[in-house]
Amino acid sequence: MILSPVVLQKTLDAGLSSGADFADVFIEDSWSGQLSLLDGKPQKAIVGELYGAGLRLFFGHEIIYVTTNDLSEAGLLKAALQAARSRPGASGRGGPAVPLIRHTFDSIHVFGEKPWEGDCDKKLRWLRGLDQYARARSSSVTQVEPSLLEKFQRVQIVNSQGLAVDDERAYSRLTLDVRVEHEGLKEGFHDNMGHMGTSEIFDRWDLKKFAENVVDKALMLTTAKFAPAGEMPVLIDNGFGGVIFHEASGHGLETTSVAKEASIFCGKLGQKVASDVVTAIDDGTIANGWGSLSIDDEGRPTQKTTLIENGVLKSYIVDEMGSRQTGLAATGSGRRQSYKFAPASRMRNTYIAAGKDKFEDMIRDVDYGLYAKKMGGGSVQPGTGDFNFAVQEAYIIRNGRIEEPVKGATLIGRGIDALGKITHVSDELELACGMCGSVSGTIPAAVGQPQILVSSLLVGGRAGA
Amino acid sequence: MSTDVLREAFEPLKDLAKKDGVEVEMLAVGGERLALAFSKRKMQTFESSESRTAGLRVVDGPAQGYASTENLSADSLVRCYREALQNARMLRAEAEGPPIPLAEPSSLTDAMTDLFVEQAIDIEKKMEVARDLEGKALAADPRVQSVPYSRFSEGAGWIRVLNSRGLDRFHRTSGFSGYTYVLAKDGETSKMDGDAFFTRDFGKVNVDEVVQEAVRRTVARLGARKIKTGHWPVLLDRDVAPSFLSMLLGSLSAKSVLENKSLLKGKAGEAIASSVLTIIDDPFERGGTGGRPFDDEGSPSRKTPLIEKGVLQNFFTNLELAAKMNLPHTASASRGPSSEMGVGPSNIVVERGLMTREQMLSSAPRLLWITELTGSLHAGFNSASGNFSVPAEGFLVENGTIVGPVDQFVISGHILDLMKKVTGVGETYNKPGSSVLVPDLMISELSIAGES
Repeated sequence: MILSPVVLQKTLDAGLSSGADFADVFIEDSWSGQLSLLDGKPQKAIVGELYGAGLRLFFGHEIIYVTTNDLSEAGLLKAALQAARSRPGASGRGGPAVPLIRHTFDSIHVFGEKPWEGDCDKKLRWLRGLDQYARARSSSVTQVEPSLLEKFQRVQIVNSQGLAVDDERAYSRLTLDVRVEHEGLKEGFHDNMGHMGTSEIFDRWDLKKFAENVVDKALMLTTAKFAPAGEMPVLIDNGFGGVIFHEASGHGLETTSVAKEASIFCGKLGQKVASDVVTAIDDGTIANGWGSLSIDDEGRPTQKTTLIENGVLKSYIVDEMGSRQTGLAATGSGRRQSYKFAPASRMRNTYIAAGKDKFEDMIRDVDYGLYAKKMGGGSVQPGTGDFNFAVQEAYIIRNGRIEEPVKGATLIGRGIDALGKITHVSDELELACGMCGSVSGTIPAAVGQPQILVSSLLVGGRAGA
Repeated sequence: MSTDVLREAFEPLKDLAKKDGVEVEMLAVGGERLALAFSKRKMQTFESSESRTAGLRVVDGPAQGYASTENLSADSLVRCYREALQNARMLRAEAEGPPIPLAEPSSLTDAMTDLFVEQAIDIEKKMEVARDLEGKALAADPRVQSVPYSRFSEGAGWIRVLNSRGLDRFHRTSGFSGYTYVLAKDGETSKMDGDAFFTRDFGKVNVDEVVQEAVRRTVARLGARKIKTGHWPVLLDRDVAPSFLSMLLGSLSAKSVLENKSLLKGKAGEAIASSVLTIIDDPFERGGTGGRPFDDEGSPSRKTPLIEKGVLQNFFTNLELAAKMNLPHTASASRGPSSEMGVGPSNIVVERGLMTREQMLSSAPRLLWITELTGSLHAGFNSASGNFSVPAEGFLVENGTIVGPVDQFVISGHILDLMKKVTGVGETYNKPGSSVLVPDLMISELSIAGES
């Protein structure tokens, strides 16, 4: 616990004083650290502390959100009264909040030592390892920048319905940026690995394989030709390939978009929105999963939510306000980057479930198409469903075989349209880490899928390639 | 945060640094922000935030360590200092070179006090703006389905830099901003687009103008067709041109040159862009949002020519990089309290040309006027190679007449190649609210990937 329940009870009462029908307070004390090497030497060492509170009031469907760094009793009461009085014309008199009762839960996540207590030499050893493995892989490597990012977030959440709960969340990630120059051509590749947990995991993960793969991909780009343009079948790899579902469909399933009627999935519950082979899940309950939680940022236990089952839309991703607006039960999906953001319905670990097809057979079915092996970032407009993705690593499929690498490919399409064109789903499900940016900030979210075959997508490549 | 509180908090840190034989700098930032949004004609969001963060940089000879905190109590700041010191000491063993310099006290060229305007506006008036940003857009055109995103914001921020050499600088800014994004539908096609504003004077907020422009832009894009793959002459609209300039900015950093990441390494004095392009970094330009009287280590701001008639003139430097690389000091230190010292632009100003948009649109028998980038640059630009590949939308133009909207295509090329292909510069800047001031740019040819 960061603050005394007595102070928080008073804060909630003050928040309700002008007639709000719900109040909650999110207290955060977070430590984050970054350690990087450049030119093979330690170059960057930064630590930081976030320390503040976000107080939220509901007046029906209206949200009032006030933040402060002043966590003294006076500071919190001032923020609560400011929130209560901020609504012009608010004259109601809210009753006091329900007395707080502390809820506890058994966390399924296992954490090691706190990052600030961790051995710096050990952390530097992982980074030096990545640097050396990358440089040893090729003489074309011109720069290597490995970083270790760690975060330890302590939160305390109380609400006017008597909920009081606290939680600790640890995140660790290694990132690697490699630059190469081959026959006058400069290229670079970037990758990361991480989990919701503390960093000792990196003693067990294969850093050599990870570093060598990043170098190989950068070198591949120096020889790859630009991707061709046009509509063609696209086979999207497992793991980070799932970002396409995340962008093309996931954001449109968040009640943040649905309630505003800014989603192509509005009013489609129970309807067919994807081909029969598609079952999609948003799961906060994977032990130490990158986008996992114990409780969400509104204090609710997280869940495993089936979004689409055999092509039929089963559920949206629902937060507290989304539940009020749509009448659907909250799914434990209220998330935020920090106390600076009001929570919103957000994805956790979102993936297309394993199917029955064999990857080899899926390739064999394609006469000419694109194998999108490593997706880059992308974006979507939930209102129109228009999405686009950069493909970091791609190959041409010709006569049922994966052939030459190509670069600069972009996939363009519409959410529901693309979901309907998924014809095959393999049996090799894999998840990967991503950082997802939206209304409530940038949060860790895992994406995933088995290999999928989309019968036709517009590939933006380069004219004449 | 009152001036004296931070000064008092910094004094003990100065003493500790002296005892430890190191230098210390505090970059503190803070501010207040209010955001109001309506949805379906009802107030939906009222967000008010107050923030403050202190970032400490401890310099131990050629090494520097950082720590930051939002807890500005005396104990917390001392703990923060110790963490920054520990970080600096950790890097010290392998760091080489002369000591990293800190800014010395001096006077400013222009204090730019006009960037903060004290205006007490009644909350009802602010609500009215937020309400109208949504409501007027809903009522503007029958094709408008909803207004998924609209918001009015009021913000004030301050920055303070103190260091153990005796430097103490303070500056503040304020402004009102807002946007409205409408979703319009016509038959089977729907499009979302919008418009935004920024001003330091509430009296200049013109909701009708923003709403009309948002609706006009969105509706104009309805019924877009696909376009054939090929090489096209392109007019880059002044509202999308900043995205392309931002691809170049990373390479103009002396830090990226030193770290062997710049595409422009070794090219100072060479023609790297078309001779019609002259670009300066101007921290005193009031029309941009990147104005500042001093940089993030406290050095007085100055104007810096970057590209003159296509020839590369300068890289962005801070005190450390200027000394280490023997380059002119451009006072471009850039960092946040929780990030490391780097360099970055203030306002990027592209010198205006003489062409009107009409002249530019009729400068080729057939061209593409690019008005929207639909993909994020972070995904579509490879800073290592300079290659970009970005989904876009716009209008097909024939003999100066707009034929209709086009979408679902990707524009691609190499950023340095693009800069060389600029054949014309417009006479009007993009609208306020950006730190990049740029007119329309005519490009002789770009690769367009659409339908085959």
